[in-house]
Amino acid sequence: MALGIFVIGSGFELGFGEWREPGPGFIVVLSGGMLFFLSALWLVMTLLKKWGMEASRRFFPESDSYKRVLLTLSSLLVFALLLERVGFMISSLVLMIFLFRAIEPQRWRLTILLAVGITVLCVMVFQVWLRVQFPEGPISIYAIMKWIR
Amino acid sequence: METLGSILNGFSIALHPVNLVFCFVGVFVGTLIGVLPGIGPLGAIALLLPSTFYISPTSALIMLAGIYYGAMYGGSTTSILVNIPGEAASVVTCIDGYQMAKQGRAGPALGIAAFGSFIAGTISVILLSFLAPPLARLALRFGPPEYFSLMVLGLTVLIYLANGPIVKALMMAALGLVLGIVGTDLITGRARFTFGIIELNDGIGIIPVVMGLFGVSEVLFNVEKIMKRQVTKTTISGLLPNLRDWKDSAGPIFRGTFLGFFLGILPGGGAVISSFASYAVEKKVSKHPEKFGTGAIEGVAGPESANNSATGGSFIPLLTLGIPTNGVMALMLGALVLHGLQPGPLLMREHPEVFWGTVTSMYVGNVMLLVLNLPLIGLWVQVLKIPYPILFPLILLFCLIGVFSVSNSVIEIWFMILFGICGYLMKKFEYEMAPLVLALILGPMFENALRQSLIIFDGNPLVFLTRPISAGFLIASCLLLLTTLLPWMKGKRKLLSEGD
Amino acid sequence: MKIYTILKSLFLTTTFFFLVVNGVSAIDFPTKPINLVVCFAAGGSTDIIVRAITDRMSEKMGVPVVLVNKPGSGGLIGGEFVAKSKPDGYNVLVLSLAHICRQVIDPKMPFDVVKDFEPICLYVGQPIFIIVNGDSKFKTIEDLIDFAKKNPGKLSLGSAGIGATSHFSLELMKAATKINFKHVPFAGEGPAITAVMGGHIDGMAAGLGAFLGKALSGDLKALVTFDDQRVPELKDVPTFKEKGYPEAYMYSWFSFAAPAGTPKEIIEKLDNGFRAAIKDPASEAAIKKLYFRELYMGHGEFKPFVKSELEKFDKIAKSAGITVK
Repeated sequence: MALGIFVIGSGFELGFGEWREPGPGFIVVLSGGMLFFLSALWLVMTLLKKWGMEASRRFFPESDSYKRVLLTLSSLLVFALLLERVGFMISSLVLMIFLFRAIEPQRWRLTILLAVGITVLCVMVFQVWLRVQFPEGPISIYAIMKWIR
Repeated sequence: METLGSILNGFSIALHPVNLVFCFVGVFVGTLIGVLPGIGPLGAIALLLPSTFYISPTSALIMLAGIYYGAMYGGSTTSILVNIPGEAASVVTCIDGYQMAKQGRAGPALGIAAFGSFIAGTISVILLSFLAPPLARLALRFGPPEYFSLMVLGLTVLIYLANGPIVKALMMAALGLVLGIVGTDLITGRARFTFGIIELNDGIGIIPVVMGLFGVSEVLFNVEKIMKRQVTKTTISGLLPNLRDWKDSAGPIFRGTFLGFFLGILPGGGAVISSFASYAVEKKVSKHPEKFGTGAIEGVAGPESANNSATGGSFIPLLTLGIPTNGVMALMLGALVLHGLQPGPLLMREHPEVFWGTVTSMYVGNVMLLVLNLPLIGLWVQVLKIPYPILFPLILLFCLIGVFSVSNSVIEIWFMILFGICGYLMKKFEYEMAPLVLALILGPMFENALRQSLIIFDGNPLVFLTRPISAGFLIASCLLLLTTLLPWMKGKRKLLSEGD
Repeated sequence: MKIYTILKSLFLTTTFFFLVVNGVSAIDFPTKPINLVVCFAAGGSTDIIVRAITDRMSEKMGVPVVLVNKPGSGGLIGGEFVAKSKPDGYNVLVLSLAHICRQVIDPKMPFDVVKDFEPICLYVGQPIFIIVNGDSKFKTIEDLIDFAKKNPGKLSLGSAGIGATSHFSLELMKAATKINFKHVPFAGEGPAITAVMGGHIDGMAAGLGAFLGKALSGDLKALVTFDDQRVPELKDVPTFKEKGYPEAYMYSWFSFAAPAGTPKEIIEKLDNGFRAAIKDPASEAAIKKLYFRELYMGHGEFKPFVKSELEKFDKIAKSAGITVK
């Protein structure tokens, strides 16, 4: 079964298409063709090797480790989705809280403290000092500063 | 020696208290910016540019220059510590630097990076002072055909970056080439593979790719074995490079310096290409090429020296001819123009104090960098001690911010995530990332140079061989290719003979 | 747990406050910072020329006027951003000839310069020149034109890219003088200038600011300008008009525009604010230093100007056959 994964791994690079376009086509055909040829070559080479050897590799070292990877990944995706809608501060808070809790749960106090602290720090360093333009949501530094005044 | 007089004059300007302050501010801010992934010297200089309006042009240049090479150095810090390249030029440092950190040798890695950068920076400034004008003229001789041949050499050098089977590395390179095609074709203006996403019109950004491939994927990879990781945390052995390290690094540092300096002079991609080139060269001349990729200090010393001296080299065309070699230099050009100075060959003659003041302050700045950063190494190493469950969300957040700060676009974040997934899978299946990155950068340059040359010379392919510089590079590529293939072919022959 | 409760209430109160306070009306415009969107990277000539007046603009408008860089695809990213933003006057685009040039060659552009924007006013312009290498055998523009006529397709002239203003300049010259030459696109003005200096191409079209220093030092030579008058910094360089080609007239310009549908009062306030900032002596000095010419044109005159530029360049594009399919 692990062998299968190995082959698929090499195989998924296959068939990256060769597009025929007049002028700009040269490099496209060249590199696309190269990729195709090389992947095919590698596929053949791997298959040949497998005939001779028993290579069994565990894909995931721990049984539930893929869950963690997926969780982390999805948190990033959620962040990207939220960012422009609710603004940086909220997105960052959500991300931090989620990551601190979901992968290897920290105590609630520490989580909140760190999440808020880091978010504020980032806003200070990036938005105020370096003037990076973060999307603003309901909570933003301007709103907070106005509220303070 | 009128040059000596000018240099002394320059020092008197650079050591002026006001300029010392500016230099320090520049170097300090630069290092900080370099450490923060994504934002890079380009962004920092852009932000501080308007404020330089109120100070003298020399001081402005001194500060901005400080930011530039401070950032170059800072970028290597994150590369070594958490496998996140601060910018494209630091990518190569990730390869061996991060491995060293994992083995508990983050201190020596950072140290040799600092020292290497210092030595390289100093030497490059010296070379700059004496050789600036003739070197600039040499740089002008590089037209499209020369760039093409240089790219050919670069792509050939690619093969040396491979640690595993060559076929796999070539596959990655091919993939890099394909990815490099995405965007607007320079020669015809047509959009290729952009699928209607206008953010792709300029091609796939290098920052999201690099941060995703290296940074995000590393985090994803580590997240799997998070519980085991804390147990295997080795002790941090020594903060500074030991004697053995120095012996190993001496050669790489010097080679890197010269390589970087000359590549930096060429407009278009100096620091990045020089760091890759240095890595390849070190691997080639090393007696233990297998060590590369597992924490060989040469793999840090060489590239770091190279990219720092490339910084010095990249100033040459700007200060002597008024030609910017990369985005940062273009900003410096803008700074000069803002102050009413016309960058060009006249600058050196009419305003020698600007030229020499800047050059000498670069030397001062290098010293400051070293002094500033050595004590900080201890601090950085402490960062590694932070338990990973707390560290990695920070890393991810910084990556996200970093990518966003470059382009203000969420789409780039998506790309980073996408490449993070790719990188993660690549790690799993043991495909290498370096060839992909290099091909992604060089591919478009290669194609454009080729087609521009063909347009100018009416489709005559012999032009690449009739022009001396271009021919030189092509011959070098052939030689390089032969020397790689020879052992491989010999190996095949042995296999055949053994198989009897 | 206490911290948590406090934070929660903080969060709710702030949200409430902000939502309540966030009303927008034309009467008290502006109440928050105004974004000036520059479609090119920081440090480029567009960026610098706009930065020259942001401080004064902030003074006149009473709120910070912030320069926002949204570089990408020759102006598309920044342009689309402003075109699709709320027409409340808080996002202003730095609209330039480059946008017009792009529109006439790209039918699939995500916005239309005339339909999706309400132009506010014209800001500055910069003359364009044909330049050659300092040691070039072409000493005057006639030399160049003669050579091209006798050797069609042998001359190599560079530009900053397909569809760039410099490309259009070359096409304009082609149409006016009826000569034939090879067009070599580069990835921006910088690389093209380098190529001319190195003698790898015969010449190019470039804006004044980009090459002046090298022209004064003799590394480059300007042969002719597309402007309708000679430029004080290069008094010896004739105009196309003088040489008998009056149709070869154009210059690179920058202006400010708001999304279509922005209320008239807001446009007027912005127009007045810009005018005051531009006419301020400090701004005029800065503009001069950067080798631009202040060309303020108020909203009334400027709007039809945009339309006419669009038509003019559309014609050039069609006859030269430039498209980005």
